[in-house]
Amino acid sequence: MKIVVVGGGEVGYNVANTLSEEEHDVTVVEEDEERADKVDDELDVITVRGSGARPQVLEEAGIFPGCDVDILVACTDHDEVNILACWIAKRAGVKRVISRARALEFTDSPTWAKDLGIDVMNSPERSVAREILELLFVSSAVHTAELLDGRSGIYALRVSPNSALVGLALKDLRTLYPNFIAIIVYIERNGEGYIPYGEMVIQANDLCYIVTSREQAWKLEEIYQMKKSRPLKRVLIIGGGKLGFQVAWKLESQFRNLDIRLIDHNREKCERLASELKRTLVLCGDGADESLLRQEGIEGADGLVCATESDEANLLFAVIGKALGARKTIAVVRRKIYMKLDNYMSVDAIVNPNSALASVILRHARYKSGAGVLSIIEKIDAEMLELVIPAKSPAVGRTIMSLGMPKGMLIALIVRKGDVFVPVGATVVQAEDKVILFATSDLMPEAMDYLGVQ
Amino acid sequence: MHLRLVSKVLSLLSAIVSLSMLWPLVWSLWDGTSDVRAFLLSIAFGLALALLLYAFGKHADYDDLGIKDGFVAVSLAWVIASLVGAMPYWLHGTVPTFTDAFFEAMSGFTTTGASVLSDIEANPRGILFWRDLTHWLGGMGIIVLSLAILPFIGVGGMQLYKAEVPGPIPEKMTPRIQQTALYLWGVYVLLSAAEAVLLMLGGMNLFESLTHTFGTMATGGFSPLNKSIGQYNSAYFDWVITIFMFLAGVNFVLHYRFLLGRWGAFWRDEEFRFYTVLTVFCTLTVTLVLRLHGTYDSFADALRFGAFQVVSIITTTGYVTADYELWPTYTQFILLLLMFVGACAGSTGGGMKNLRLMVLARHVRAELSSILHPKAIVHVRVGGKPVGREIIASVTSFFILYIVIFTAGTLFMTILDLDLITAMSSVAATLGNIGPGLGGVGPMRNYAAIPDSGKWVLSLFMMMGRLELYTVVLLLLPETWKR
Repeated sequence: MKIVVVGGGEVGYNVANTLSEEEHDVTVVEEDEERADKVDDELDVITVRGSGARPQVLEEAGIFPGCDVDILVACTDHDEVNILACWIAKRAGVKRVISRARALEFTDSPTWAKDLGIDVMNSPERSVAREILELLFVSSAVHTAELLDGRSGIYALRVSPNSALVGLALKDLRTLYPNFIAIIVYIERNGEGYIPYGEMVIQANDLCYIVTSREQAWKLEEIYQMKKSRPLKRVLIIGGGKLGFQVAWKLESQFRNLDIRLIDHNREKCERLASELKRTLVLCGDGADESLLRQEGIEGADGLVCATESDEANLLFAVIGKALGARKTIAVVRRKIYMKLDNYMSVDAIVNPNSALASVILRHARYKSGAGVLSIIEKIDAEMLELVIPAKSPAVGRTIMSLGMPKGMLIALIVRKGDVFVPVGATVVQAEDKVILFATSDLMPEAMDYLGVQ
Repeated sequence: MHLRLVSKVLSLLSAIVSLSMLWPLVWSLWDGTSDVRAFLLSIAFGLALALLLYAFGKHADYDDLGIKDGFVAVSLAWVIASLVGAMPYWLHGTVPTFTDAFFEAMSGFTTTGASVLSDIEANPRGILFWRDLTHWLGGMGIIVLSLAILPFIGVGGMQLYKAEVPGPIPEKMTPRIQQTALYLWGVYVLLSAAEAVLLMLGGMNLFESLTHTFGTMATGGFSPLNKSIGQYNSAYFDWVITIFMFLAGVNFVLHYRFLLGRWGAFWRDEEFRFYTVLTVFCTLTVTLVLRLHGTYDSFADALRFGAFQVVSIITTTGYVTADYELWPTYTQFILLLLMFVGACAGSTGGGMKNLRLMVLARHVRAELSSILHPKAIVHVRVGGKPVGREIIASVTSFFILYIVIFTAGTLFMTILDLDLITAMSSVAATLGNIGPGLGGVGPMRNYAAIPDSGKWVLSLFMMMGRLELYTVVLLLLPETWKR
């Protein structure tokens, strides 16, 4: 496919890199000389220098009426540039245009993007804010992502050595916990990832990715970590940017009695935040000020969210917070290389809006619009797709067991007439079922064939 | 430096070069000449070397290919190619020493066309075909060829491409490097086929039209005839070859665009305009002087011989139809200057390249106007686009390096007791990948008389010229070899 990526920053670079490795013809449009040079030197793509909002520049990148470009991805830091690039591309006949939106207003209403002729518009800040909330909610989860508009979720938990699960084969899980509807879709063991199968035996310290409904998520901790889940009482947020604000605002609306404290060093920003957030205590100060942190109850706080503009500051604040006694610390980073640091630093979870966005864009670029795309945890090399079974699919009327799907792919959830359930081998697939399909990236096309989805 | 990875790349090269010897082998078998054994042994040697290199580097991962590895791999690839390519000459006894064989092979691959053979026609057709085939392989680049036919080189291919393709700013025609390499070779093959057909229509036999096509399109200059193209004394052949030499000196990206139906591609390119105007101007002034001087009796002849020699030297081909040593001094000096100019960036020709000279001239112009207007912000533009500071810096230091190497080389050649004209022109003609120079290495003579040490140094210059200095000079820096 011919793909034009507007913007060669952190997001654009990673998207272009992956797409060119998948043998697509990629052209990157970048205005900044240094970034363009980096893309030029390191990636097998064509670089066009200039602003993606200018028709002449886009024409140089191959976008003109009657062109054969399949996808345009606009992921610069400027919404205006992204929207304009998408608009120009759409008018030139580009089949699909995907835009990043930094201002959340653009994704508040689903019709906004449609009116502009943009096929997909994504604000990573929104989904990342939700991810942070989930991480706070299920406090032992290392990663989370939501499924089906938040009705279900995927949670990554480590199996503690004293858990009853250790030594248990997956197929026996259901008999042990008959009322707990959950399915393990991925297991990470000693740095290697597996899509599980019935005979696989759980070991201590496995990192299990579990799909379950939100109402039951709190039970996970009991089962995997052998500790009682406790309601959230106090959360501290450092950094009152877009993401910090989103987190505070969402926490306010979801937890009635939660004590939320937000720290930012910019007085003006604090004034504005204080007027917009009704129940949050806005503090103007430094995130590394020990006495301030202690005074505001960092010790014993259920969560510390570090969401300033600086990746390095966030990581350090999280470490400091942990040292001062916060139960769970979450750092927001934007650079890819920092994602792996949770193995080396005492940070409980690291979230990355940029790679979340990159993975959403990549999935939209890879699969045609028929397949709903889900936000996915970036760290694992497996994909999750939301699909609707077409009426003429070969799978209709057959049990899942009889489909004979090989190892490496599984159906995690089925939504049928509003009910969400985890399928078993004897579950019969019906037309119009919405399924959550989970597979390693290389097997995904084959898995879609089994279900008769293009 | 990933030595194993470099070794893996080199193994591919060695295999490609030795397998390409199958083509001349067909001529030898057809003629039943004495060089069959030499080719079989050379192929076996090349493949054995490939296996050895592969065994050393088989576990290396192409994705690790960094900047240093790219330069080292490309430079060594040309050494290996010449080493394997020299085998047939040496084993067959075409030349007396291995030094001569290596010189001839390096001259072939770098499309220089400087020869040590005195009686060319005494050699079997297989050997003569191999000489010109090395031109053709080296013209578009052996690395580019391997990028085109071997898809598994991956992302690291970009580093290799940059190290081999001539010009200050290597252009990509398509997003994917493999496609670019494939299209470049496609255009190259197409133009070559066109020339071969035109030569055959003029009555040249298949063997000679193929070898001359290889020599022309690669801007090489080896001919299977003792007196080069001049031996035919045919105006038709002269003009066909003049035109194709000129085309081979054009950026191949422009040929590609033209073939895609963008008819304005050539004239819109500023470097092409510069190259054309320069060629036409030099041709006319040389023609005029030749006619006024009475070297040729008719204007048509003066134009025919003037154009051929000028185009042959500016494109760095080195075919000759006239002994320009007998020409007026003015025309000889024009030719000597053109040896430094060379063809366009992205062509198969050598020299400093027109684009670099344009950038330099405009940089000087910009400096002058910034002296007059100290506050002015002056950009150097080529093709309407501003040229970045790093590129100007790189072009300037390229120019300086070129002059330094030329001077040092001339100094070395004078130590070997060559006369000044021979010393200077032998360095200029090898560094610019032209072939014939003036004096002792003039158009009617060859490099056989140069001492052995001189031949090795000139071989190094040919490689430096083909890979545009930096790639080879970097090899001499100790930093390159550190981890």
